[in-house]
Amino acid sequence: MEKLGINLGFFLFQVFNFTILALLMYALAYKPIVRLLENRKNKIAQGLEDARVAAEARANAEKEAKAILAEAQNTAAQKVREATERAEIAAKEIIAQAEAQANKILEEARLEAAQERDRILLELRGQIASLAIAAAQKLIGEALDEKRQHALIEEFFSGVRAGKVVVLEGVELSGSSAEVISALPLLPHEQEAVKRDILSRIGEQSTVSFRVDPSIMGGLVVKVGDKVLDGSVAGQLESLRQSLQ
Amino acid sequence: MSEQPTQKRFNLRTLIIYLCIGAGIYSAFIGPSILKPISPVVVLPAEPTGLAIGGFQITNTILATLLADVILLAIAVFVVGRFMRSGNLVPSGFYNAFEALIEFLWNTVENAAGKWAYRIFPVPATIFLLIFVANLIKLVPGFESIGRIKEVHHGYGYAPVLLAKVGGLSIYTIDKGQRREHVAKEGKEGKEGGHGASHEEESKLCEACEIVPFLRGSATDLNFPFALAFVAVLMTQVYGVWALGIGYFEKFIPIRQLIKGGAMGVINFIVGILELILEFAKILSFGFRLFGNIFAGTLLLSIVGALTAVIVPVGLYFFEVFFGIIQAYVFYLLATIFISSATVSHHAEGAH
Amino acid sequence: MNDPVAFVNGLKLLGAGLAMISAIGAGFGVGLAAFGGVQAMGRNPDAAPIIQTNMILGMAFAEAIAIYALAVALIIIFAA
Repeated sequence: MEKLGINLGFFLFQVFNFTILALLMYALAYKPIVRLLENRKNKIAQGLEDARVAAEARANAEKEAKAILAEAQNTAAQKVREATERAEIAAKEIIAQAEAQANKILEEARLEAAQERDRILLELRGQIASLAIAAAQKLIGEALDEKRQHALIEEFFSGVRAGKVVVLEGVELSGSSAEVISALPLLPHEQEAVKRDILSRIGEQSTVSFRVDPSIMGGLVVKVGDKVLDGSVAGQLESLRQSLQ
Repeated sequence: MSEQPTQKRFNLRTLIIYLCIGAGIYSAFIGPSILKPISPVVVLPAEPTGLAIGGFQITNTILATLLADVILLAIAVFVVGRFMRSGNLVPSGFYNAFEALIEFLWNTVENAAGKWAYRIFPVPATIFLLIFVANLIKLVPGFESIGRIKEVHHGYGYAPVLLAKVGGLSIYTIDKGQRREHVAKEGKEGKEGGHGASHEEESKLCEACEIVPFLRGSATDLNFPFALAFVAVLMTQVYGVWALGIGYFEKFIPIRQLIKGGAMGVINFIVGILELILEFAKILSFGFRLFGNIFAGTLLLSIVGALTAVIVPVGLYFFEVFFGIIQAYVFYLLATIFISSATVSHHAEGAH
Repeated sequence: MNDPVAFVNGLKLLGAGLAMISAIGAGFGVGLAAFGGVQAMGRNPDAAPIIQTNMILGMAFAEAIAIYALAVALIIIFAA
């Protein structure tokens, strides 16, 4: 052993030296460095964890924001739709109202115009009769019986003879309503007579309306149900013309 | 740098390298004989340096070990300590390298030992660092070449040549051209030396001299690797008892298995005894591995250096650096594995 | 033969040299361990750290044989 250099003293010195060195190095180097390494590792792990949490929170926030946005968009769309609908309804109402009003105004105007015309025509009727008698006197050269003349003219205009409507002679009538068209407005007693005559034929519950149409020139046109009884001068002239041809 | 190599060929660094090679060739083959390298004297035991503390002779390997200690402690105090005091979070410079080394060691120990890593880390880490530093400083020029001269015991010696005198200190070298046989004389050995020998008469100087270096690689002395191996194996037992209690010794003397197990118990008992013997074999194996590698490396380096003084030893130096690190790592790894395996219960796996 | 001390010394050196023959086996063993280790690391680079540790462990055990031989040789030369 001695020749190999192994010496108990040196050996123990080396062991002792190693022990001291290990203790010193442990206190001075290993402990602080290992603690530092562990701290660093923990810090990095903590940092990564924080980053992960932050990323998660951000993702959640983004999702929430998206949801809020979507809801807001929905609400807005709904509001717009409702407003549009309401506006449309309002517009339709306004239009309908305006149309109704316009129609009403038109109707009133028309009615007024018809009444005015009827009034004028009624005023004219006496003059027309006088003019017709004067013309006839001039043509014939002698004075006709004034009363008879008037009766003739009245009959011409009203189509009523002796309380009976001329066109209705010998005709079967049925229907719920009747319309009487005359060239000039009928006098109240004539209207009464026509009405009575028609009602006696088709029933008391029916209605009779009167209209003025100067284009038929004279006589009466009576529409009952689907039947048209043309006793007008224009109609007679037309039929005359057709038969002449 | 590599863009215009033709212009950079004769820069200062290259010139210095050529000068070194030239000086090496001159001193080894051309110049006077005192410059020539000599074949080393192979001595196994560490030689005393002449220093002594209270009658305890300090050998050159112990001096080298102390030098390694000083370097390690200086690193611990001035590098690690300063960094810890500075409170910096970002490591830099030399501390960074040292921390990377410690981190590497720590990771290995932690992988092997788990929660016991904190307790066992100082032992393998100190083993690694001490061997590492000792193996590297061994390669510094001046190791194994500067020392006292003394009369050879046997074989050949060389005549001393006075180089210079600095105050009372005489500096000698030995002349390869004047090779002398060892002459057996009584009472003429031991104390003579070229260092601090002002009180000695020059006539007392050796006739056939050899150099006894002040510093010699720690691992080239068997005491150092055996001490480390002994500590490693001893600490294996200590940590085993610490972790498993007195039941740890069941591993070596499985009495319970001998009583209960029957035939298998007997075999297990013998295996346990074998393990006990293996523990001692571990010391031998640890110690001789480190010693063998480093001693052989040193020997190779000096023999090849004596034969071809230039160029070839450079490659061997690389090898030596490499082997120094590898041996430190192997020693450290084996110590780690043995210690950490001692902390794991032997019975736990057997019970399954 | 006329110097028995020199003869014994020569035989010692011879014996030390012969003892180192066992380095052949250790060399084979270390080479084999390195071969297997490197091959395993090449096949499974992820497991490289574990393989490396075990490889070095195996190499160390194989090398131990050569180291015993070295011890014997040293003892023969210096101590016997």
